Amino acid sequence: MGQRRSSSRPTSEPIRNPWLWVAFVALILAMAPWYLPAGDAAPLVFGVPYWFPVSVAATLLFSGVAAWACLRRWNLDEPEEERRAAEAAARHDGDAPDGDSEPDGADSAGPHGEEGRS
Amino acid sequence: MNDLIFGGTSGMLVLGFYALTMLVIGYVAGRRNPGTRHTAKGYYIAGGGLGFVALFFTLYATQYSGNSVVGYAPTAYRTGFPWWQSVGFMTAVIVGYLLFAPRLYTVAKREGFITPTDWVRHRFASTPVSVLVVILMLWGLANYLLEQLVAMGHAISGLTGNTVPYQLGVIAFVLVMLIYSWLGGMRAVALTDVMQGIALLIGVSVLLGGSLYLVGGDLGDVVGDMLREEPEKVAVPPTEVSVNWIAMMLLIGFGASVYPHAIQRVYAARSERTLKRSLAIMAWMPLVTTGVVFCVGIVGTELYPGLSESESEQLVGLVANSVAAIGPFFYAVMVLMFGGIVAAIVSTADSALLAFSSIFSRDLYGRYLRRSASEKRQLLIGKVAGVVIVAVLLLIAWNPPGTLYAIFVLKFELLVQIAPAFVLGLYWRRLAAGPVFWGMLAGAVFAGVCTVLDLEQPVGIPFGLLGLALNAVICVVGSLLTRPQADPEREEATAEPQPG
Repeated sequence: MGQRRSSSRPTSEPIRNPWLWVAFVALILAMAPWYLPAGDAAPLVFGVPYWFPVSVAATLLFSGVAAWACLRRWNLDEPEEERRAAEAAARHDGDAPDGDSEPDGADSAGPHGEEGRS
Repeated sequence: MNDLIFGGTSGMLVLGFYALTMLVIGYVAGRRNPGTRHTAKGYYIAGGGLGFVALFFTLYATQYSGNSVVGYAPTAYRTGFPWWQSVGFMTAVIVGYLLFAPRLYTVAKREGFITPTDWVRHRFASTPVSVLVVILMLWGLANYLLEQLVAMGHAISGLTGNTVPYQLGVIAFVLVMLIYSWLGGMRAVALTDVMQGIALLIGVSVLLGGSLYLVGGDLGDVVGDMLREEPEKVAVPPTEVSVNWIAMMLLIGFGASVYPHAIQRVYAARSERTLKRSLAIMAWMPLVTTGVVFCVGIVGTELYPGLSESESEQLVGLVANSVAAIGPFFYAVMVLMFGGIVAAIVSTADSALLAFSSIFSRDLYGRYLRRSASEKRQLLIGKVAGVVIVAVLLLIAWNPPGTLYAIFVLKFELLVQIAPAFVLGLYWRRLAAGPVFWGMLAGAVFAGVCTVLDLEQPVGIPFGLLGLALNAVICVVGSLLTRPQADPEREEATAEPQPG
């Protein structure tokens, strides 16, 4: 699941990518075999009715596109969170030699300040 | 799930092991994070600090309950190949998250949200909208909990060979659930979900492996026999079934992603990176969960042909019996799997219970019943409310409804109505509180009444989805007809996040 550093990618969120949603709708429509004649089972492909591999392929693509959108088309807070984490780690290294440097965010306001304000 | 050959002593031992492990995890989670027990943020959303492993498994265990195994395999048995839709609609839940979670995560971290209603209050500043959202969520959560309690009782009595009666089994595991939830809050719930999720994944995989072994490893033969005996389960389904398939993807995609406990997991993520990586893997999980269960149901048609509807409800138990008889390894894994099913049911119930407690304590008690209550008192009231609702639901669970699936759909009919307040509310500044209230109310009443009256679904489209469409139309048209009011706070709530 290697990703480029989020700070080097532009800010993005999935809902602002219309083609992504066109793809989702198309795949949902492809999954259910409404476009094929009801009652047909033959021919069998890989031992299963021919419509089923089409549906499976659409489902796999649906999962793949959803996972891709999560990783590649969602980049709102991560650059700022990375920057704050790096700052915290640098401070931590200077102040205390032991302990972990990962920002926990537990029971704190979290790494978000003015982010999201217009 | 009656008469499991591996039920009885070994089943009781496994259940005891799971129960003890959950208690230890709750104890450790509470001791290692003392803030967990004393602050609402610590208790209800783990301080917004859940890391990747815990977040992924708690998302997983929350979305997949025991019903995803014991209820979906019989449906695949009865429906045949069209039940592949269960993989699609579980993936649609992740697509549903993509509609709102990225922006909601940002706003939630900035504003310190704890309950889903916090967003609604922040966005609309309307008491009627907030109260209606609270009512719909509490109703949906209670129904959801009830379903889990019913399933829990059946699973425990089946696994213990009825040595542990239905009622006693439910009470014992409810007590375990309450204790570890009280000790460690969301952190304990998430950590127990790791164990529960792993047990379920391994169990269903071995169940499929064993059942394929029993039919000689050739799915082609199974399909061939289905074609001869029950061709309608293999052929292209009628148009109404296909329309229902698409409709269920939309309904569950919208509905399950705005579950109150699902929204709280968005709040609980340690970072955006953690959240999106967890959801990216979740997008593949239907293939290895409901996809595997679907295959078990299909193989079941070969192993146990001709079961009636009520007999087929026992399918997972029947298949597990056959698989356990293969040898000691399969026997052991089947015991672990059934323990895992009970654990998965508990893990779904604990998430819903925690969300119920948080909404009751913060959105009802702390806001309307006793505004001066301290945070500590609100927490205590939330915990007590959780115990009371479980006690009430237990009384109902002892007269369980006929089929699990019917109530599964019913809770979506109402819960899905809060979706426009989140999806449209996050992105469309003009969305006004009045139309949101009337849209939600109209959608919920329409869907609820049609469902209660058991009317026939038009072309296979669930009433919940029709109610949602009505709801969305009222929201959009009503907001367009409402004079926009300049309100800097509302504008800020929907502001597009800027790079840091």
